[in-house]
Amino acid sequence: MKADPILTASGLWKSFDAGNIPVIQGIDMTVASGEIVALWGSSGSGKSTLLHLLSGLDAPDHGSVSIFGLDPSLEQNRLNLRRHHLGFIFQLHHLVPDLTVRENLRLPAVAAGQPNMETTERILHLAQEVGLQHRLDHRVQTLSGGERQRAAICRALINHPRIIFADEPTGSLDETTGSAVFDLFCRLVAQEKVSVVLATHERRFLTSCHRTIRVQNGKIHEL
Amino acid sequence: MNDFLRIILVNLRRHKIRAGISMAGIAFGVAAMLTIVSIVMGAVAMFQQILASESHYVVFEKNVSDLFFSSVTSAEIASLRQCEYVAEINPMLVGVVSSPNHPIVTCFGIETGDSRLRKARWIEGSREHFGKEANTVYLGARAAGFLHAVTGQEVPIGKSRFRVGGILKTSNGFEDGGIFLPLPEAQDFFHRPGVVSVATVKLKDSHDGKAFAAQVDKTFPNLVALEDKEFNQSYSQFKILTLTGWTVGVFSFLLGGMGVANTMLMSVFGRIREIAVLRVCGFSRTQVAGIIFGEAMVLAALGTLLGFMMGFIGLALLHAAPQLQGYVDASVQPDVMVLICLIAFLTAIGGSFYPAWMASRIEPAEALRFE
Repeated sequence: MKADPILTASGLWKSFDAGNIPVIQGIDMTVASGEIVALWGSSGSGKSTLLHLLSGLDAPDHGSVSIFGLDPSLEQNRLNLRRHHLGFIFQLHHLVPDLTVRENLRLPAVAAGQPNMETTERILHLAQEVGLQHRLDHRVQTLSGGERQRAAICRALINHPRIIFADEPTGSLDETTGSAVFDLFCRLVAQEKVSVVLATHERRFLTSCHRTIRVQNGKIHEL
Repeated sequence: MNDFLRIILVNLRRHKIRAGISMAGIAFGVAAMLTIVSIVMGAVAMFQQILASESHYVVFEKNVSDLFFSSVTSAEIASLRQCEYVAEINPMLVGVVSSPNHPIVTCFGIETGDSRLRKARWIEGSREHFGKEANTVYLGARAAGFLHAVTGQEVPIGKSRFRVGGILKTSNGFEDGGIFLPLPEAQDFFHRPGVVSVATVKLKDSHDGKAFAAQVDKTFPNLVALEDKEFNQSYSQFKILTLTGWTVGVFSFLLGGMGVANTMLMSVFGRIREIAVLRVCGFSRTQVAGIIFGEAMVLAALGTLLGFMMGFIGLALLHAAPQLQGYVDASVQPDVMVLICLIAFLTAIGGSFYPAWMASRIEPAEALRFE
């Protein structure tokens, strides 16, 4: 029996340049609890834009998105979702320079007002899982690319999110490091029972996903 | 709270020079305001001290813009002396005289029994001789210095020459830089026979002040009797001086505020993606704006501290400058310091308002679209 969707998108349209560049054209899709869904397509196919629309980072021109029954176009819902239900990983790590790894990992907890003790334990646990426990008090600048991306994965998981949106999470890494980081990512999301929406152009990662949705010319079809 | 402070401090530390320039802007504003206002208030206090020497009330001509133009007649002084509330009256004629190389020297025409003479420390001569010898002038200690005069010597004052009858040191910078003439001689010199500028009044009972003022108002419609505090607030010269001080200070702060605004704007423009990531991590618009305001507050706090240090050093240097000795006797009031702090922080808030608003409006998708 298929689980109830935790994310539903209906009739999404998005264009840029005052409608001259259509990017997403009438997409309907759902994500169920625990699913790992790949949005697969070549560069410029619209997968990142679709990911932004699905996560509420961007607003569609037409259509609607519902995450856990909440409309992310409303600021209060967006805040609630980002603080308690969603995690984000980008192609670039986007850690805050000059802060230590520990301080970067703490950011989502600070925003959500999580208790300090609980956050400290959670940071240590996740850092151990990704092998960064010895780097927690080092500044971001001293980390390698793979370490930075592992720190970004930990940051996305700090507040026990229920969906992770990952946009080419290994896109800035070499193939070997990228594979290692992706394997780590898959192991962690399985442990944490988190749903994932992954935008990628790399076929090699598709076998780890429950569903693959091909994005092409702003439309989707399931493979 | 610590995490917020850490984010704020890290960003300021990241751009030390930019933050330093902005902080210096606030510091200069604080130092300028502290210095100017304290000097003005010190000057006002000194002038007020001249008038208020052991007195409760100051009586002068109503509606004059400057006490130099005030006229209180000898008959009015005599009548005031008969007033039931009055214990002592010290009339004084204030004028400005010139001496070679010193075009403005304040001259105080006072009676022989004036309390100023009693309180002064006589460096040369004695107060018993004051008014007993004709064509004699008594010099404040600093005036004796810049006129290079000693007792017994003649000094040129205006078109006349006066013998120096004594040199006295008072606690007031203006008096020390002035000359004293017996009242009748001063009236002759200034061609104002039978007239004084102001009379300071000591009451038998200080609680009778209101009754005394009312009696002056009724008996002498052309005169006004003001309590020392009232006089400070109503005398137009003091008001102009004080207003000038605060205006110059506020404009210094406006410059400082522009520095803060510039720094904060650069700071926001330079880390649009970083702010976008904070928003993605769940920071609200208010929290993002709070970080920007926080940075401005830290700049204001450090700038204020630095500004007070600069201001106090500046005042000390001015006080010690030989050319200004005695004239600069700054009065640093705690309430003025509090007000300066408040203005510094309001300036910082004002300067960071637009950058904070801009930061809070950053949309993550827009900022992160082109990685």
